[in-house]
Amino acid sequence: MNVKESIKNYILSELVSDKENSSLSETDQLIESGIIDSLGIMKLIGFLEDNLSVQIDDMELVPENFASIAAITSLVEKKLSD
Amino acid sequence: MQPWQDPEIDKIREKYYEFATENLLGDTEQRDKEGDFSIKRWKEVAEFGFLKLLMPENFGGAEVPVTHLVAAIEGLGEGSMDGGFNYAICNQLCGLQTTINIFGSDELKSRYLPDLMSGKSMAAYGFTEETSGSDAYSMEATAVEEGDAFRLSGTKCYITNAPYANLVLVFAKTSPTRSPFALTAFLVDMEWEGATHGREYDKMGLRTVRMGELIFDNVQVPKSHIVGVKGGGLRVLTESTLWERAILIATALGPMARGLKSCIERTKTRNQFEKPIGAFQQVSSKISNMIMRYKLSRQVIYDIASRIGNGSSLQPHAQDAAIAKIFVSDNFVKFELDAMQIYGVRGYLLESFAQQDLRDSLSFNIWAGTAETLRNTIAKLAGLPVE
Ligand SMILES: Cc1cc2nc3c(=O)[nH]c(=O)nc-3n(C[C@H](O)[C@H](O)[C@H](O)COP(=O)(O)OP(=O)(O)OC[C@H]3O[C@@H](n4cnc5c(N)ncnc54)[C@H](O)[C@@H]3O)c2cc1C
Repeated sequence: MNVKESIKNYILSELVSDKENSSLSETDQLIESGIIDSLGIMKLIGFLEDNLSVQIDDMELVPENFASIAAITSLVEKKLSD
Repeated sequence: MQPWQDPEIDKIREKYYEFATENLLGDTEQRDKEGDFSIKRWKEVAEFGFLKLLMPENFGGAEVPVTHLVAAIEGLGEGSMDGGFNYAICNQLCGLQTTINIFGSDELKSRYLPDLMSGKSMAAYGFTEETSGSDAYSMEATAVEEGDAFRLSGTKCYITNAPYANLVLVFAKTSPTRSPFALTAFLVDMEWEGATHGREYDKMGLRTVRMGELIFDNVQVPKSHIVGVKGGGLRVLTESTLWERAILIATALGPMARGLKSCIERTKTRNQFEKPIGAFQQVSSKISNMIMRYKLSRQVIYDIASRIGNGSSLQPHAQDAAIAKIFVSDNFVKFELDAMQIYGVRGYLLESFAQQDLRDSLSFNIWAGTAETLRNTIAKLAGLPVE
């Protein structure tokens, strides 16, 4: 499974509680729409650090990096290629 | 060997126990009655090295493993009766200094950690407001960016150490939304213009430390005093409360160890119906329960402490920290109810240790996440759609 799919699967299985969002697109706004709340963001960071072997620095904890599946994927891919 | 069976741990605990019995006993009952705090003792405990324990060596700390800190907290609590004081000094180390160590810039660390470690400075944790307790996002304190600084305004309530703290970790909204990135943490010097100490609160327990209000009226906070990053307040908040949930609860262990010794002795020596009261099964089963509560609480705390690195993130242990907090708090309260009951009327007197420890224990289900919201956290982390 590639990075984007892992992230999407994790969000859908662990963070989305209502079925309406099961067709989440990669540009859907996760924070603005409240799909990911405060506990969700902490869980997501834990998932990225444990399962995708990246360390999210405090400086990267900005809304732009977590706005959508596409944004999270590009953050992770950038860190993996560094 | 499990950490709670380690002779090294016993030695540290013993060292702090002896220090506490020699230096921290005495006027506690009076201060508990008056709701008074001892700055002199704070400096003595700091001089003994307690506030250095988890801190990095390159800033003058002792950088010991987290289990050693737990042992020190146990010893302090067992050797003294100063529940409020112990709560506050452990809170400064676990909740504040550790947070500055994890998230602060080198500039903040070198400027503030040495004085906090030596007892010259005292810090407070400024999160709660009248409108915001369990719900961080209903907070009204705001910090507006203006050039090289933020203009901070808001009133923080129910803050431990507020009446005399000179440094405060303040959480404020840097965005009006409920986004996870709406909060920012700042380190604020109470000497700065616009920062004042407000009213004080009289509380039922932890009376040997004072609690009050902190008011920030257009305080100019330099950007260099952001702890973490702008919008990263949630991570700072979560991390610091996780340390409190997992480690600050060790302040329950000393009173339980001390209470257990007294109660065992009492049930062997207090005679009624021509027998020691310990011969009655309803009394002896209280002691059995107390031993279980104490031993299991120790194991839960040492277990989590042995899995976390000094200065590392507790995020991966969020569920275990919530479980530990609920488990220990609940058992501490039940333990103290039994202790009081074993002493009968003497336990009900204001001169009894049992009533003081009971009053102190009741706060454990409130600070750093109430028993209810922590149960929500556990269920949410298990994937339940809890609101
Ligand atoms: C001894 C002590 C020291 C403290 N020191 C500090 C300090 O230094 N700094 C600081 O910032 N704060 C401090 N506090 C305040 C503490 O952080 C708050 O009390 C705590 O966050 C809870 O907020 P609240 O008391 O406003 O309760 P509320 O949030 O008003 O909750 C009231 C009740 O409703 C329940 N409840 C709320 N939301 C939910 C929900 N979603 N689901 C189920 N039940 C819910 C709660 O569990 C509680 O029983 C201290 C508190 C104590 C007791």
